[in-house]
Amino acid sequence: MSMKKRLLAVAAVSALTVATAVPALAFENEFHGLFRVRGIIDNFDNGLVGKTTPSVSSPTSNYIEQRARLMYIAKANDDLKLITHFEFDSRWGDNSYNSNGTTRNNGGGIGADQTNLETKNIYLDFNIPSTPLNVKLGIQGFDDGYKGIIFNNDAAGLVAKAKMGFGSLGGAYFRFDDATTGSAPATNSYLGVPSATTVAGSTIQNSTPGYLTRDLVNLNAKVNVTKNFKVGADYYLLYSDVLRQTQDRTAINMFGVNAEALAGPVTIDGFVIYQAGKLGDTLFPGNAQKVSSLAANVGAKAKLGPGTLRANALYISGNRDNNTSTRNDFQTINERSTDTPGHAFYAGEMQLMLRNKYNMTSDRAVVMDLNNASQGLLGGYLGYDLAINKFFVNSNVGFGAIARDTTGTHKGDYLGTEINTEIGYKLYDNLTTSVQAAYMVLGDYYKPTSGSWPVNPYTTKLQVNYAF
Amino acid sequence: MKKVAVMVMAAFMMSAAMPAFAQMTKEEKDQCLLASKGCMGEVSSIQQKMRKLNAEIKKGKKVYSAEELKKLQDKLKEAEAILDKLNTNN
Repeated sequence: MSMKKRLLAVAAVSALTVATAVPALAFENEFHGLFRVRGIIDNFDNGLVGKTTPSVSSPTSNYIEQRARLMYIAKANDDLKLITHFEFDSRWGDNSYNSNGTTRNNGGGIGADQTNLETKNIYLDFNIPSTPLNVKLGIQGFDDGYKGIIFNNDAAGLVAKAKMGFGSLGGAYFRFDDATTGSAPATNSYLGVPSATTVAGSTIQNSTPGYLTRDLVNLNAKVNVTKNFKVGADYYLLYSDVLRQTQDRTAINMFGVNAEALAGPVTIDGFVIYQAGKLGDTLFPGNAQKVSSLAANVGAKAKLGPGTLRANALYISGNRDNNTSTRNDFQTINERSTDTPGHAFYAGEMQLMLRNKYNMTSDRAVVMDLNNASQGLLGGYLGYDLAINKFFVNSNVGFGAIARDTTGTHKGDYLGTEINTEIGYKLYDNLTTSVQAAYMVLGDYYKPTSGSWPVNPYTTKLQVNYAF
Repeated sequence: MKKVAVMVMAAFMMSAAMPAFAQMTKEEKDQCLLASKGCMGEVSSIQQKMRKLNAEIKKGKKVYSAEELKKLQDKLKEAEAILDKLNTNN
């Protein structure tokens, strides 16, 4: 065989090799998901969402609910991927065939066959070539850097982050609401601020998208001072002019500083957030209330014995009187419907006092919205996590009080003490079963002027959790 | 020229046949049908992915450059965030 023919043969073989190798360059498909079933017996939860006010009459509920989440990630390469995340929730026996006029969070009734697919996230995650910049664009979850007390939910927006030698620089923009003609579910719900200031029923007249909006803007910087000490600074702006046809606009500036330090076996972290700005309110139609409020946290985690000890303290400022020109209660972000927070403090690991990370369709708490009807919160939370082979036990105790008694009518500020535990077993690497139980001893805040005390809340749950 | 054609054909047949060889196990039993193991297109669960990443990170600088280790650590954080996102109510 001549040299020319050999070269031709080598070229042809090389071409075929490349051609057959092409499929290896195609998309990487990632599938992940969750399936959770919880059987619940308690006296404070009725399978719905919202604040629970302890009462003398607290009937026992028993029900079973389930959640499935499916996540598909279409990964073109390390620099480009599309993340999609879907959810299906139902309570056993609730409804089927859309026959109760609702769709989501249904489908556990006889017959099933419910239109109940919820889209949690659809966003593009990509790196900009030749820059350190990563961009997430679309409907996505957000880590606010403040343990979720500002914003810990899904929304449509753009998040950009650049890794730098000293740490990172970032920014985010979310459009929470773009209101067109209709009746606001409750006046201040479109402001994103607590329902304590709500006067329901205003009607919005608007046919121009982008004219009446609620938006969140964030600028952030993180500095790695040393390998074991990191500091972050943030600026947030919560802006809403959705209700400007009837009241002044809301523009709340938030200035936050957070830090994390590792000292031997102990990790300490915390933050301070100061809010300043103006709050639109129907009580002050042409002149918004001034906002000056504060939130702060200190947390610690340490290896202790065979397990891990956790501690957290949280302060959310409250307000004495909402009818004055200045507000000192920390303005939390809510969804449109009242009493559905767009924030949470899961680090407390409470099951009754605060929202719990495992909550699904039933999502209730004594302090549901951390603004706590303008009363704020002083909370202390201690926990211990223990894992022995396939068994695990997570136990917590929490103490809560209001920061300000808005009405001045309560016998005390102390909300109560919660003790809870979760005892579980790993059946497989990704399948766990656990029993959860919590009991809250109510404090003087609930002491009646006469008659019986409200019943202490409790909950017991049996949970099966498969995540893959 | 005939030799060239034969070589090209052989190379093509071998390259096309390779994936099939790769899928075959040493055992005669089809473990995919029998035990849902080693199936074509098998993907890692999030826990498997985290375990694999941890194992590679442990190999350290003997195997990976500092930049590659950082990349693996970032991917581990990303996997942890996915698991957290799946498990946490929002």
